[in-house]
Amino acid sequence: MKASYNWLKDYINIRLKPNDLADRLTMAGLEVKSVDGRGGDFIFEIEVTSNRPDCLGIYGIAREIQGIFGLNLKPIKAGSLKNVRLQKPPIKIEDRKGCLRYVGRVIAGIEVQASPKWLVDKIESAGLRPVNNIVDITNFCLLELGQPLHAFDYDRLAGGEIIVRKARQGEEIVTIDGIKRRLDGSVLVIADAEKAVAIAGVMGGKDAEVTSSTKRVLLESAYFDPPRIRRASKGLGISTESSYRFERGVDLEGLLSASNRAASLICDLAKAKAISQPTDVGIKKTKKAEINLRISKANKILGMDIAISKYAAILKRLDLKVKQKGKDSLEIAVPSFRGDLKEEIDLIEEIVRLYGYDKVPETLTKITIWGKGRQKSDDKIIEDLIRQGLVELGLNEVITYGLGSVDSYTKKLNFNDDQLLKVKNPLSSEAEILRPSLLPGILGVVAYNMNRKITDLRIFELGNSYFCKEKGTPYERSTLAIALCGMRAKDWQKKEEIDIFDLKGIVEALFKKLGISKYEFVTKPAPLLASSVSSIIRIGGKDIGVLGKLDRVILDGYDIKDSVFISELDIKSIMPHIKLECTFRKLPKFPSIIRDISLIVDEKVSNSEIATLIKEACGDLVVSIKPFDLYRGEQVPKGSKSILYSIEYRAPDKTLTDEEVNDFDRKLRTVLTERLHAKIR
Amino acid sequence: MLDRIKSVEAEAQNEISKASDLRALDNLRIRYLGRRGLIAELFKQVANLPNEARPKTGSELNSLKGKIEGLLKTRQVALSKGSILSEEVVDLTLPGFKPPIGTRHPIINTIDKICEIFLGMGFKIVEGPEVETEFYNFEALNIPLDHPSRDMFDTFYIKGEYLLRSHTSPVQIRFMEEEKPPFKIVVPGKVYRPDAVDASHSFMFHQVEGLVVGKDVTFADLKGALKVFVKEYFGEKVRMRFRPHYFPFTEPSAEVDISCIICGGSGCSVCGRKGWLEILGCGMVHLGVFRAVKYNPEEITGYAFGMGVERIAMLKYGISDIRLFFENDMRFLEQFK
Repeated sequence: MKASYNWLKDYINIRLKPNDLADRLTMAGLEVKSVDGRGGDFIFEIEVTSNRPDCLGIYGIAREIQGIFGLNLKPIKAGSLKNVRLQKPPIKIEDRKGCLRYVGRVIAGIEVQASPKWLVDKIESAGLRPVNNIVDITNFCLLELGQPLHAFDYDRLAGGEIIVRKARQGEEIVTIDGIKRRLDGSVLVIADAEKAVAIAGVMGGKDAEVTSSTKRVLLESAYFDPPRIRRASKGLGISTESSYRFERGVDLEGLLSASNRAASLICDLAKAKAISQPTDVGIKKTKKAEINLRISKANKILGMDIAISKYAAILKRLDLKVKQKGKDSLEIAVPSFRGDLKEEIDLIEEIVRLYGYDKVPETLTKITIWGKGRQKSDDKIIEDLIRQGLVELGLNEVITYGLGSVDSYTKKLNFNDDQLLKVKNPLSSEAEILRPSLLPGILGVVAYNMNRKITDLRIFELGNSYFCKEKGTPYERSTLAIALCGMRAKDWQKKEEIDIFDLKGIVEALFKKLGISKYEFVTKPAPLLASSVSSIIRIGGKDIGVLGKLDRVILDGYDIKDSVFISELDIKSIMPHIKLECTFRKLPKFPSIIRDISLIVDEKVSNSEIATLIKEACGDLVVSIKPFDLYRGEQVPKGSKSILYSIEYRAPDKTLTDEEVNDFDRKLRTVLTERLHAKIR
Repeated sequence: MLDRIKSVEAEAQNEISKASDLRALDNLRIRYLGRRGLIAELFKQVANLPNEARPKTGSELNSLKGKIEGLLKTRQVALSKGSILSEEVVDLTLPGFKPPIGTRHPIINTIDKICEIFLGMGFKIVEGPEVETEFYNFEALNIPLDHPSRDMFDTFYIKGEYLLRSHTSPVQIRFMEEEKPPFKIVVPGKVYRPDAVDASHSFMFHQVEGLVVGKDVTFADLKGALKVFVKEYFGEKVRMRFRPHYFPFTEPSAEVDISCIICGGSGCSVCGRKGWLEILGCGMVHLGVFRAVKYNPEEITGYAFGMGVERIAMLKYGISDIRLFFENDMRFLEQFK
């Protein structure tokens, strides 16, 4: 809201300079965003919070200044009305919930012309455009009192009457901006005997607009139900000075004085020849809030010790009626223009903001001992541990948007359109669905960096992905995505290309950190992954993630030339398998014996098959089976590979003898030869 | 000849003691003890001596050979202890082999730093869902349908009553429904609002919310706790002020400004020449919120506050474009540890 410094001075004697006044208003809760000097005046741009519609008029702001400084506010004097001899117009409120009160009067014999300079200046100071004297007077009253008024050309109202009713379904009206609008049945309209002539509280109709040839007007001053006006304004996409104020609630008891104020100005400036008494229908009085303010309670909430006399003085400056009741209590009657003051706490706020937030002491709660139990939930501890673990492993954390485009999932990643959770009111096609996977985001990061010649990337993101339950209920799931690409920098002399085992190692190290031991990497094609380097990660029989090399087709979609290795894990499903507690096992008492074995096996025989067989053959005395060399080439037949294993044996209760271990060694050689056709060297 | 032996001994002693590395020492070994070395030369000359002088000179030479061997050995041990690398020339101005160092995202980093200060004051961390309902995001927080206060919270709607939370405050409600006062919690998290992306807006950002409820929790306590936060996070010199404001879920409400950390309060482009920077919103928990979770406002009071993490981080590090956080340029991320 724009407020002119000079205009404010019409109602209150301000001694402060404009900038100082602006500071004081800001510190009392009417934030002055800027002060613009303009032709001897200063225009304050004030942010009026939605609870203070009374400050959407210059007079209300002047009252606020009175509240701050205790200066005397001058009353507004409506001129006396002469020639009150016209018949009162017939007015009917059909929708009593939509319109609480309607004051209408007829003014005849007017001359519509340009407004005098003082009025034009006032209108312009508020950033409005002058139109003609009638419209300008209604706008003047809106700006002065915060009460929107509307003037209809009375000769254009069929039947010379006003009906406040719901729009007929599909009823049409051309508003004064020249646009034809179709209304639904929930919109409140002002109608004559035949048709809607205004969208109540939002905008007038073209038909009954005041023009230069208008001779008689009907002046409307009304109270419309705020939520109804807000719905209409939002629904139609029209926000006006009027709708803005009606949405927030105008002063129901101020309708008549606003009407009188405008009528007297019209009589004066438009040389009206005759006027009617107002037709005043609906509720005339609001239910007055009578609030009991307990001083001890107020001081307790504020953590202050303000005297009762100070409380009373501040509230009186806001034009509230204050009566002391006993030592500790004030009885407050709230005027109708302060509908925001409903209970004790509302008054406490008034006190402290006018007393000065800067005078509130800074104390520390006496309640430091409340810190009961742990500082973090298990979920939070686990997420911190994952982040910490991956950072320790040299990965950079990224955060990408949780919303994405349909295309990035359907076209680039082959998701089905109907799997996607859509936003009802998207901002753009870039943010229209809730991500079901972190991969597009993380691939975007890879592409972004590669375009900037940053090609060695080790990154992860921990965040939610979003899904739909069968019933259609949306839900979210904590998800981890990791991507590696480029070179593995051992040192600045030697660089090697990253491969899938770098990534697998990271995931395994993370599992170790989280105390997960029973996991499997099942070689299996997974969506988005190159069929040759793809696995499903399984814990406790459940698929919880994927790991592999991204398919070339997917990478081409992002213009990424290098290989990218990715893993995506469903952290929510991993949670139950995580062990945060450490368990202690006694250190082994007896030494272990290590035997190496070199096998040549068919390519198709996997490490896990070999390890399983060894374990089966030798039982619990085998404590570790570690591959330490893998060779393919001239020395080995085509289609085969040579693997070296180091097998460690230990008994918990004695030192194993060479003979015992040799027995095991022979046994597993036999098993490996028989079952896997391995050649043992 | 015997003089010559003495001078060679002195020379060897001097040179060996000066040998600075194993390579130099090896050269000396060749020079003195090699097949064509000095000692070998001297032995050759013994043959030319008169018969009676030969045994003495021979034994002197043998003893010299032994001494030099001893000196070489001692020096070698000394050099080896001093540096195992001294066999080669090492240029230690070359870079070391750095193991990869990862970084947490600056936003996560900032969240942790903010939370840490409150954890120190006895708060605990609580989190809640990003997919929320009308009830938790609005109604229970005293933001009724069709009320202008909703303008402060533009929201992405999903379907039915579901939406993406536009602030972390719904967690207040979820927590109070489950727990009884007294408590002190901080709530970090991701929020969404339909704002077109530019240098200062993002449709996704992060907040940290705080809530303290108990007997006798005062507005002055709120000021005290936030003062601690401001001083810890932004530094001792920074001043803080409370400015009255309106939020539907607190009353009295305040916006909190700190003296501009760039200009110190004299006015610059960062603070719009005002000398103050707005950093968070706060207030005493609104009675309507307590009623929604069936707390009795006559028995308890509480305060709440909420801040935008990106804004705090941008002010702290002097970052002027919010998009940097979500572009994830490694050269940006790696500046934060």
